[in-house]
Amino acid sequence: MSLLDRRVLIVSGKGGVGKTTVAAAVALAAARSGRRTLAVEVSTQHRLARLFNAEAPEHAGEETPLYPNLMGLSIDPQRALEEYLVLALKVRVLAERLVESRAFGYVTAAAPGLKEIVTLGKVWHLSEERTRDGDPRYDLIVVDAPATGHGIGLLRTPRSFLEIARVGRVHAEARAIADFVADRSRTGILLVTLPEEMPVNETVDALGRLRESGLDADAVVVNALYLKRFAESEGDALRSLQPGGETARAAVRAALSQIARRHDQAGEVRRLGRATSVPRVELPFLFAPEVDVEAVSELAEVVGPALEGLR
Amino acid sequence: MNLEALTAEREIVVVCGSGGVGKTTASAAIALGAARRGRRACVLTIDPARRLANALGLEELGDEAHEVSLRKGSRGRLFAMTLDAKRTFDHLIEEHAPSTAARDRILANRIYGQLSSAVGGSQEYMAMEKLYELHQAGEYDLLVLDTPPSRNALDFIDAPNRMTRFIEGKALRFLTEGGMRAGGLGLRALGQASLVAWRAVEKVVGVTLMSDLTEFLLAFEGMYDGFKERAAAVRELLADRRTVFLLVTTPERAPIEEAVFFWRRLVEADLPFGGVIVNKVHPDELGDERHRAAATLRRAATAQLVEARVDPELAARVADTFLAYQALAERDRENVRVLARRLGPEPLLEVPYLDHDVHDVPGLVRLEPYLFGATA
Repeated sequence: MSLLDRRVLIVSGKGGVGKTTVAAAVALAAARSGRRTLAVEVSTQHRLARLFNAEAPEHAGEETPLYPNLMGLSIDPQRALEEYLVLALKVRVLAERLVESRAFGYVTAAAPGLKEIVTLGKVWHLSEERTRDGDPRYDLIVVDAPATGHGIGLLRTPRSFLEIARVGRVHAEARAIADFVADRSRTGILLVTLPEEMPVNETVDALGRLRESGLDADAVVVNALYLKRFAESEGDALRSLQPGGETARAAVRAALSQIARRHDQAGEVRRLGRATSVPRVELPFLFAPEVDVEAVSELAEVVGPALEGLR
Repeated sequence: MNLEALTAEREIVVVCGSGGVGKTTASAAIALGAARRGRRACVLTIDPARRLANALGLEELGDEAHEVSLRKGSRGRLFAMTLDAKRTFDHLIEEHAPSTAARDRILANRIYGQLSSAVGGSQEYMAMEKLYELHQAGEYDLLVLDTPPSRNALDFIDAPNRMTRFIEGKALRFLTEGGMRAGGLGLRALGQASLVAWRAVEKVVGVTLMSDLTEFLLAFEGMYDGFKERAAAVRELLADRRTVFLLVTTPERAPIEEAVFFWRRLVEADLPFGGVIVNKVHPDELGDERHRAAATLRRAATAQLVEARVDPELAARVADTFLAYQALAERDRENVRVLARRLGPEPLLEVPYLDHDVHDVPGLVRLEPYLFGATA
């Protein structure tokens, strides 16, 4: 059983670390390995569809094909909440009336985490769906979690929600979802970070907070690492070099810049390794002007085998 | 953009942008630059993840102002603090509650506990509130606010309004009346339809949550006016010429999209906009040679390096690295051009992608010439 054999992988992290790209690469790797995969984003922006050059679905909330074996879905939390109410109240007219009422907006604003609960609930229900033959409809669901304060808000919500909704249908649901998220045979958690001082500190912090909630990350994905292109001695040689040509001088500056950044990054990766024993997956920095399907594909080649190798 | 003039004239700088663009670092560098130019500056953040402490090279940063020591000869002073959203909210309740009983009821309420620390919008609101409070106190010449990375720009601009709308009596009549009737208080007749809706919500979210909510809202009665007035004052200060909003972005497509979106919201909301800082721009090392084709460049770089007695294999690797960087530099230049076109005449400032991350005062000082022009 590898990490890709879990039913759900939740990709978390702060904004700006490449979370969506990593989630797309993980989903693509799973799809290429033959797993029926669903990539979920929690927004209305359809960033995943754009990454794969796929059309955004005609109707919001529809699953849309991104790649062979890979479907995409954007969950709009507000909409998910409305759907949930219809389901829970059983009377569509009543639910619709309720959703339209202004008061409903106030209840959902005041009941913190309700939207996150129904979003996770939707993912959970999707993972339970079966085809007519009784096979799971999706072998793996990869969730690009929304960036929140600590980058792990979605994961912690079910438990904190249990505190405020102590009875009722939502309570039972939140309990089931909290169990699902904490069950490491079914759900995996990936934390994405960058090999820089602040993101590393934040990741170490997030790992601690996850543990406070009885959760743990299965892997930390260190994104955008520069490859080692030059030996130490070569760096020294380049530093003392003063070529006559302007182009060569610019080239040497670029190479020295790469060496300096690579050196700092390696230090940050070592620091991360000292701070946590959670397995690390390292992804290369891509010198691609924009992240497109080719870039995602390149990362999938690295992240796929790495996750296959993790238990 | 002339940050030198802006930080000399304005009293509040609000720094906005999406996550991961270096907003905290920029905020700290702006406050530092202002301090080195003689101002008594304070940089504030509500980010709980110690980013600001990190940017300043501090171990911890509490919600009390902490003085950051500057090099000898600096004329001004620099302070930094993390805002504790919950504490600010508590303070606001204490100030506006009509009685100690009402205050205690609210502070002990579970919904309040969540609302004050977790709900989207309340963090932003509290940042604005604290900013207002500090400005009123007048202890600093300049306040620089590092805002939380809000995906939705509206969250931030609208936060004070949304909070007051939320606790406004009229809009919540449904809830409180429903709660009273359902709870057997029967104060006023509630329409049958509303009661049905109330019961329906209750069935889903549970009785305790609804009674907590009712209690919370009832406790807020009598505070609405105070809150509303305060929100209006905050709003007025933000729209005032004593304030300036700056945007930070990186030269990549997604953050630029967000920056443009944010800028539109600021302009629509009639808030004073100062300009955009484009951070981490890969420097274009080529100067006038930029239009040469990649193959020509590679050949030229390799030949010149070999001429300088570099091993041909190493020369080839250096040339490859150079071309890879050059591609990023060209992308950045193109993206900055697109951004400039979309912003029209708005000021735009570029900060190069430095070889080393900034996470201490000397690092911030290295950023200064790019932000302020000449050094202090």
